[in-house]
Amino acid sequence: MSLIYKFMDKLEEFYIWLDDRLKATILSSVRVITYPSIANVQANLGMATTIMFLVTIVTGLPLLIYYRPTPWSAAYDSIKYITEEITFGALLRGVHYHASNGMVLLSILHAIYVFFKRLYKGRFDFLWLTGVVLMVLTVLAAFTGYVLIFNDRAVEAQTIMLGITEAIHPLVKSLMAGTGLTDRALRLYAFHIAIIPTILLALLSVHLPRAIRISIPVITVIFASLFLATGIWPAELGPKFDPAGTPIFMPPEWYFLWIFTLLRTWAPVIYVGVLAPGLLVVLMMIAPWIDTGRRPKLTDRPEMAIIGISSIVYFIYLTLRGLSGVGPPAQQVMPVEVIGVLIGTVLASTAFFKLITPMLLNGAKKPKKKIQAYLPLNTATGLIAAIVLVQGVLFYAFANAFIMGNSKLVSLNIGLILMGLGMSQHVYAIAVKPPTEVKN
Amino acid sequence: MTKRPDEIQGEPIETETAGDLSRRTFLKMLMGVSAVMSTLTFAPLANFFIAPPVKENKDRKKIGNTKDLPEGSTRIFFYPGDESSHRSFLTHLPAEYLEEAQEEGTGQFISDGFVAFNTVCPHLQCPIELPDDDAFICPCHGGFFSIIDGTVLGGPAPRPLPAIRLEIDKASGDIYAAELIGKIGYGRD
Repeated sequence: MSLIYKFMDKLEEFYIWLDDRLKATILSSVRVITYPSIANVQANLGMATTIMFLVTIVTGLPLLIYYRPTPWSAAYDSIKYITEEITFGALLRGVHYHASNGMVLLSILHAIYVFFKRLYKGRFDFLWLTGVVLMVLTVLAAFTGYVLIFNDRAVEAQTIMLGITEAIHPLVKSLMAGTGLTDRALRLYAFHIAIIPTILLALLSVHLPRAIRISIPVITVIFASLFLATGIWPAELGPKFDPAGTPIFMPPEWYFLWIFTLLRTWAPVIYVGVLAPGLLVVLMMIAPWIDTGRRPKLTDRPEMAIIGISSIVYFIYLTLRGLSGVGPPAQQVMPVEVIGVLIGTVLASTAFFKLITPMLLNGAKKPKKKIQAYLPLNTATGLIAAIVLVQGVLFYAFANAFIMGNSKLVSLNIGLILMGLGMSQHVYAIAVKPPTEVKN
Repeated sequence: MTKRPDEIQGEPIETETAGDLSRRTFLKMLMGVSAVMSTLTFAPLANFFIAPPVKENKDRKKIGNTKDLPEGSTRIFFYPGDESSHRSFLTHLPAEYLEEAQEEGTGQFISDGFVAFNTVCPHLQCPIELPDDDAFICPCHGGFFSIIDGTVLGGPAPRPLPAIRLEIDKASGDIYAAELIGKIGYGRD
């Protein structure tokens, strides 16, 4: 035991030495704050998005070893090889895929939280602007990723991208298309692995605040959910693209379903494929300046509430609508329906926030109860011991799955073990330290 | 910050009894076990970096014809695959070498006057030069190998050149590489 203590002492000495030396670097300008007690998920969404980005980098770099961008037919073969031949290739692909999806989803939720908490006012309007650009780039990074598979679905998405970029300007199209399928593959690859990530990193440096708040249990649970998702839904491979064949049409990834619905109104592409998404981006960008409310409460700024709620409801409607009537052949979505739902949503939310909410709010205000989580040390010790015991069993299952070469079970077990760690971290945090009072 | 009762009263009070302290240590140890287990689960993922071995083609491969190779000439071929480490020499030995081999009993790889060796130096994998007189010479660090049986005549190489068993079709004169004898590349074995 004394050897362990000696080792720990040396480790601490090294940590102090390293900490001192790092104070002379750029890192000293970043303050990392860990939450003292309870995990606050909604305020950690930005941090979670960043973590997802880091995960896509960490899982994406090893994939570069085996992925072959050109010629285009080798791209599909190399992904098939990664998925079927390489140990944990499917696992790494799955985590990469789910992290990219998670990054898109979390960036949207992060934006919604900032919008409704009115955190984009004052000095933070710049962060909001960079955030909107980051969101667009995130979607582009995810898009250029799933078109690199060169299965039927990927090439379909590529051709639709070419159509939309051509509607902007033929030059934009030739930027993405190049001289042919292989050249396009290399271009998309360059965008995916170098150009977009570099811009993302650069913008991230002017988006992240100086004081970074991280919640360790939340991070652990995010990791866990990625592995769990990979164990349950592996990343798709699909049939290889055949230039001579007629592929069965498949809807795009979920974050493009709304544009897919709009395109099926058969309106000119320039309106539904370019201007409509552009309008959304512009609306988001000017939000801090059209928001004149004094307080974050929605009843104090009903106009922003109407814009926000109706945008979200309309987005969800368009997304879900994208999944029905896919065909083949894909059915037209009547323009009357799309416009009608838009008007209906705006009217309904206007009525809600201008008429109904003021009436409801005449009553007395209820004081908000603060959640105080605190566990006696005994209970916490028992809980953590139980978790560690379960983790031990899971670890045995994990080792077995690894020996048997069952990648899916390995992924599930990693997810469950990490979930246990997240839970024990949370219990530890609320048990060891007494709850701190948050001043508003 | 809410203050614990012992902090409010001013004087620091020893609240942690011996039992409490050991419980905290126990809790920390449990957390450590949990963290170590979780970290260990990532270790096997490093296997991703190791590509599965390429299945080697052990079929015999036509590498030349007796008519194209006069006595004393050498040609380059690749066996068993097309990798740079599969570079090999096929040599038609002059008559005096055949006699020498017969005298010394070193002709185990010779068939009908032909002999073939993998020519990647077992020292540090340099490609060996075409035969000069009765030896293969490695240009990198000066290894010498016998042209008759591939044994090390001098230099740093730890073991002889791998030989390739030949099969010759008497009727057509086609020469086939049939088997690799020995290990290609670096290392003692």
